[in-house]
Amino acid sequence: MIESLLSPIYRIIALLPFESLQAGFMQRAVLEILLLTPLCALCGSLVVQYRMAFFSDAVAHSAFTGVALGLVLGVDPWLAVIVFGLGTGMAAIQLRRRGEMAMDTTLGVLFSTAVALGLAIISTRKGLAKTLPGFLYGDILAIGDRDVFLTAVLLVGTIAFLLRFYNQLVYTSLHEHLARISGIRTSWLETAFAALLALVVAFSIRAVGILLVTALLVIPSATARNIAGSLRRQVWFAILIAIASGLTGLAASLTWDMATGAAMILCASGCFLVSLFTRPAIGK
Amino acid sequence: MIPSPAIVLTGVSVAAGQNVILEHIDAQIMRGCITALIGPNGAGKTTLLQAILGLRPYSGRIEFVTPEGKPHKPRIGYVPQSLEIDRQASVTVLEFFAFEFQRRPVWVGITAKARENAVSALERLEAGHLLDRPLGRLSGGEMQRVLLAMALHRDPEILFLDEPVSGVDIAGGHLFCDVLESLSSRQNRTIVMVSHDLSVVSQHASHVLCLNRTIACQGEAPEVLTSENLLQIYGLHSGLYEHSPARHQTCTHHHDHAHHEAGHD
Repeated sequence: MIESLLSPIYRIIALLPFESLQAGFMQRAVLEILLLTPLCALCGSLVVQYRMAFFSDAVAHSAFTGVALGLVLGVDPWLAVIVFGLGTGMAAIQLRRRGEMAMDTTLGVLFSTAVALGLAIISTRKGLAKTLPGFLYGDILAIGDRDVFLTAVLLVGTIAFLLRFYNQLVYTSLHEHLARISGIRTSWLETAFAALLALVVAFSIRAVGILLVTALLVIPSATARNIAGSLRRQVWFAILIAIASGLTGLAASLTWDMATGAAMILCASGCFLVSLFTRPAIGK
Repeated sequence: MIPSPAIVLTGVSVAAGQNVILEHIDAQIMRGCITALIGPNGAGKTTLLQAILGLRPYSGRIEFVTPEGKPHKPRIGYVPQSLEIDRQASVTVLEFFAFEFQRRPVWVGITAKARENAVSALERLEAGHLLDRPLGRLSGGEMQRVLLAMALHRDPEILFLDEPVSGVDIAGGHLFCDVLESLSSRQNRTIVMVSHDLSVVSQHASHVLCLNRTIACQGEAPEVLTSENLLQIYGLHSGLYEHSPARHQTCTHHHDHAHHEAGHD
């Protein structure tokens, strides 16, 4: 059923004048990029606003434990990554709310514990270590129809959530008390966004891997922030930069036979560098 | 006419874990007056403001009352010290207002109604030219005017300000306080401000509430801002040097010039 839903889109992608796009795995990769990069750019504008890059890194690195537990317990490791990532995100938010430790200290503890636990479990089982590179670097070319479909569902859900709550989230990031006085339930909203972000991070690991997932969220938005004169432009610039970097990275990885995730991030980093030099010229 | 209380605090205490920040505060905030919460660093001024605003838990009672003394839920305006924003942030003043005026996310577009409301709120404070400026690029005084415009658009009966002129230049500070006085005297709004700046307090507040974990003193500004009280609260010799003969504010306001003389507040 999923295949029949996606096949008309694949056929459209195949019409593009590139020979490589005749292959099924390339059509899936292109569609995944077209879905995942705007998703990350939308969330990324809030990640930059909330200074949540380290949160995203902690959730991504918790995937070590998720993978290990999944493999040991005989559960789909990707499902385990999502569940464990969500759990880590919620734990971080609860610890922060108790306010006994600074957020970066809390995340530092969670981050290191999750990585150590995952590596400890993997090291006790012979043969598990060889599964790690797939999670560390990701592989968008190996993505399946089900993954593409799930990314589409997550994108639709994220857009629906942000259509309703984006303004309130930014308002809360600017001054939580001011937002609360204007009637926003800030605590619920931040928890909901942290849960959404944990899901987006866990889903993005497939494409770019644990090590680079935060870059996919942060770099397009940071680049757009350098050149945009309003939040509205920043969001749209970030989406365009993310899609362009994704597609250019995919083409570059085929041309020079390198990891696609890394190539996508390098393209985004190139845009960031250009934006740094452009910034003074546009008065930012 | 003797002003009636707008807020009555009875036995209010606030603690953070084992640490008692405020203890047994009994006080009245008068309607139509500018009341200043003063005290040394760590005295609990901002904590009391947050407790009154319902932003942090407390024990005791905080009641908003009508002139007849009946419980009442007033419209509240709040002007924080500043926003958590860095210079590179691209959120504009218009977008900031849109967060209040529209549900549609700003990246989809700003509604005509939201723009209209933002323009009228800013123009009221002669700040219409700031509409399209990024928030991160505003000066301290401009930011205060934007935050005040935002607070006033709700037509608040009680306006709370947290260190309203900190980080604002002297001229900007006077301009800001003149607006507050006009709000209080002409529109009969109740204003509560936290301030560490005794020159601002002496010129613009009609009532003063001195905190140092408990209420150290309270009452009309001329009676409270004495050398003895300031010595008791701040621990060092402090005084107010006045350029012109003292003419402190009452709930119908005037203006004079005074400077905080002591090196410690």
